[in-house]
Amino acid sequence: MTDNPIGVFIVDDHAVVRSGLAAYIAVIDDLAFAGEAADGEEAVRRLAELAARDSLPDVVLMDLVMPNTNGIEATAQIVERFPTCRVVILTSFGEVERVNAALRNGAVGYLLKDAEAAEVAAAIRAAVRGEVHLDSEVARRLTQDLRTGPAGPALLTPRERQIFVLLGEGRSNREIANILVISERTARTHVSSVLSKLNLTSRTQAALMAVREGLVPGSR
Amino acid sequence: MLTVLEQDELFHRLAVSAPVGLVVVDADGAVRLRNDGAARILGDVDRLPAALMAVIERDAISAAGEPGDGGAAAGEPVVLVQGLRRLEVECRPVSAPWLAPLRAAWLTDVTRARVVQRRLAAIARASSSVAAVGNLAATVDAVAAEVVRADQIAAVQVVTLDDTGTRVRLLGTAGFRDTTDFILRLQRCQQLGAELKMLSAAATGKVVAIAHRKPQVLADPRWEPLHEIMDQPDWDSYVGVPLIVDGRTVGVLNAFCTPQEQPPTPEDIAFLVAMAEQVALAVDRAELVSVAAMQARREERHRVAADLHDSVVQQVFSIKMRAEALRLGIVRDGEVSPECLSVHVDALVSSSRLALDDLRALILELRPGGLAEAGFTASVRASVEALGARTGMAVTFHSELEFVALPPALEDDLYRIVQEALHNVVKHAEATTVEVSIAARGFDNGLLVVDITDDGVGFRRPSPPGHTLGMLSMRERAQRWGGSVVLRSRSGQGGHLRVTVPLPTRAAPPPGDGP
Repeated sequence: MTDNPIGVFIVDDHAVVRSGLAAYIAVIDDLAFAGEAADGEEAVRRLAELAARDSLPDVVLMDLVMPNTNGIEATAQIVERFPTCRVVILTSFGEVERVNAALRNGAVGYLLKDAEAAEVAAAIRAAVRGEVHLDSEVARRLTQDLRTGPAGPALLTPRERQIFVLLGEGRSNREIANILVISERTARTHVSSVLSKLNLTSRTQAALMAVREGLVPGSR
Repeated sequence: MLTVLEQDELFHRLAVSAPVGLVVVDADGAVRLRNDGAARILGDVDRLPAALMAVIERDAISAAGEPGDGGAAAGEPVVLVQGLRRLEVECRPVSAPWLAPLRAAWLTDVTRARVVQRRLAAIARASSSVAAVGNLAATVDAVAAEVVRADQIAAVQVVTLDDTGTRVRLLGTAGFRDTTDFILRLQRCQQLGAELKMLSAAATGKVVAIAHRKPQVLADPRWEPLHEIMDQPDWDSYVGVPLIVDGRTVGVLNAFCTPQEQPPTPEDIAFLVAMAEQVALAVDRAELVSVAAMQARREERHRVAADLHDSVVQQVFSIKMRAEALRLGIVRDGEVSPECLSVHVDALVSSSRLALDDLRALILELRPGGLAEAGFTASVRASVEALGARTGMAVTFHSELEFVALPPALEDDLYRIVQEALHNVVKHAEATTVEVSIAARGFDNGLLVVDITDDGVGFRRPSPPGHTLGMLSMRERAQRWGGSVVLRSRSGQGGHLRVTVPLPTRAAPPPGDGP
């Protein structure tokens, strides 16, 4: 047993995940279980209680998709209110947007739930040393995203983005015109500029892309 | 007052210049008298065409049998073909005893009126076949056949263009004999440098009409690969009408006109444009449906992925961490106390069981093997119960039918409709209870009815966007089997969706086989 083990606080809405993680942390010499919460809101409340007793954990393992306050918001609150706590994201979602949001909000690690158990311990230790530990797949996506820069729908103006979403709903030019209160001709112009910016040749392709990008309400 | 002579002269002149044709023949059909109108219709023939004579003879017989009736009612128009001229003539024999042995008849040229009539009927039939759901190729073939039937058009092809506007795909055709390798031959012509007039119709979005196109094509060696196909039936002028959907050209309707005295008139072209509009509607609709189907598939994948993330991934992650904890514990201490082991193993067993249950539910939802084993009723029941377990919604299920034997494809469509409907309830209705029932209704209990009722917020107008496509795909699936999907709902009063399909023995033929 190490003299001063790293205190780890677990935030996850699945009890089974919390208990599995706690069991694992319990057998690692330099780690110690420091509490748990089922969502972001509860986490902030519990941490405040721990802070009052001057026993804040060193690292918070944070799930992202949770009821009430989600992991990304909770990360921002924790980093602001308890600056000594390092937040490591542990989730099953690895989309670049989520990773960016989490890192922007102050997370210092990002792990996926398909990571090896040892990687969880490694990320916790790295966080305490002030390093950033990213899941290798997440890191790959992140660098790829940096290299290629904004592409696809990111190039669209807000108006074009609206049009793009309406295309994804299978709307005709007339319907688009009616919904946005513009002339049909204007709608047609917008549609063709959306197509050319996205390098597409038909509105069907655009519709499929909008759906694929998850921009169409109800498609996810 | 006119003198008798003046009156006779006036009557004579009026009869000669009347807008209606008047012809007088003897019993052998030799023309004795004709006014100007009859001359326009008949030309300068010496004998009345046999078809007209037959009408007059028939009238003489029936008049003899039933005296008193003048027999002036016109029957079906008689078709006269004189070289390139094709006329439809209404013939009203004059039955008057004082004429004998001569015969007389009033002749009216109804060619134009009949064409208009047939065309209107063709447009109506085309639009009803476009409105009825079927596969796109069959619908387009039907519309093409209507164009040919309406007249003056020997053959029709409907082609779609790819996004470059140069590669052509044959969507439907009528009139030409064997067209299976038409596109291959057309591509060969393109390679040889043949100029495709349909491409300029597509590029400009305007109608292209070319008189006497056939002799040009047949004389041009670059068109050689298509000479055989294009030779029959006989045609002369070509009209290409772009198919326009929402301002973009998706294809062309090629019309090959029967040889006429006149090149295609504006009315001829207006008819083709009307038919092309019907085809364009069908193409547009098919595209929309394919987007809807694609989105439905995608939504399903997302639903399954989300469920996996929410359940199985969590369980398995936990199993992995706990197993690793157990392994590290043994490595560190050389042994594990029975109490500790029991805690870990219990947790592992329970996690694996939950993971397995979740997987089973997901597999049921995906149903790779179809519903054959469980049957439709049992599968819907299982799916409704799984929904209740997953969402905490109060679900009820009842069925009047324990087992319904349905063709697998119909079963699949029905099951997907129910899934989509339940999905909509979960996503849009904010409901706390949902009730699903299956029953046989209608004449002889020949209809299978599935009702899905919820106590949610109902539907506001306009309906949520994802919903429109979802509804479209549900309707499409039901209509494929001659069924329907009806949504009844008022804001704040819950929703009720009813799916009705004819039961198998009376079910419509499977999709694709119908006309």
